[in-house]
Amino acid sequence: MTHHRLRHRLLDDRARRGALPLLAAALVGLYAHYGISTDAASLNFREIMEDPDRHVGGRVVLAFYQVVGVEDGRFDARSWGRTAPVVGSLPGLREGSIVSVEGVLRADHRVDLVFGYVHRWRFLKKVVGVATLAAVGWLFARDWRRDGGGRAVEAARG
Amino acid sequence: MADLVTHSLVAYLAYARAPSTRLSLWFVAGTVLPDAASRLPAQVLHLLADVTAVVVPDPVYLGFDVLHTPFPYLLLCWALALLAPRPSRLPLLLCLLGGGLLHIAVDVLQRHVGSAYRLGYPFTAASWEAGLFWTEDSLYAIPVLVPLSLLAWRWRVRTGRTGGGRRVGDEAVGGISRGA
Repeated sequence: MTHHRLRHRLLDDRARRGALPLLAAALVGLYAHYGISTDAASLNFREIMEDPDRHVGGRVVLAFYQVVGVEDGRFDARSWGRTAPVVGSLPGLREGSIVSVEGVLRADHRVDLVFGYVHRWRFLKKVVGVATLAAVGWLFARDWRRDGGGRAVEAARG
Repeated sequence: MADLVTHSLVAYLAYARAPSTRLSLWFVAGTVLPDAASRLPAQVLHLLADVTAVVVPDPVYLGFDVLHTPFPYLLLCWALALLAPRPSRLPLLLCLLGGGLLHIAVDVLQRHVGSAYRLGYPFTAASWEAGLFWTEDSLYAIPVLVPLSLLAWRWRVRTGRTGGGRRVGDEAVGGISRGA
């Protein structure tokens, strides 16, 4: 299909009236399904600790947990009010580190660390991320205004 | 996710041959959009829930990640393109889509603890990633990408590609006026 025909089939004003509500409904439906299915597929630490005995020997994933207590060969990892005692250590680990950890739940309800990673540049990444978002957003908005895009959309709606 | 500066610079280099600044900007905006649409709302919601002490179920947060998968992202780009003036819709759709797919391609190179990206959603539940580097390691690429981007920008200035090029927007206003 040529660009010209594609434009007329998918992107003309009749398509706008018909497709926008359908696209919005599809996106809301996919959002809900993705959220529910992802949650059901991932056994998180909160669920494990609701009935830990049932999950002894099972795989535990702690993503982006903050280290709150470091001792020799063990540390506690906390996220949103949940604290996981982890047995093991990681290079560069210290109080306040953000870690992602995979482990196995022991009979004493501690997590035996199998594999993990200390996130080193989380704050810097957030700062440059927000700065980039702001810069691109500002440039895009300036281009849109210069384009008369806002007026054009209003005219099309009105 | 890799950091947004890396994503933006990779997009700028990938589309350095864009015939106008506008298309280049739309492509870069496209490469920022998957994270802006998926991570930002979840993080703002997390913050609000924290401040107000309201308990928000996990699926509410997790659902936003759907916009970081190719097919739902295509639907988002299509909806956004339909909001634009008529002659701008196709270039806007292609730039947002191309930038977004480039973003997802860069992210798939990473390694995560836990689950990987569900690239085939909603057609398959399978997830995959190449696992070449950790999420923060993309920051090490910035010192290389910045001079390369400056070189690309100088090349664009020399070849006259930094102007508005063909004014899609000017036609757009006229197009809508005729149609309205």
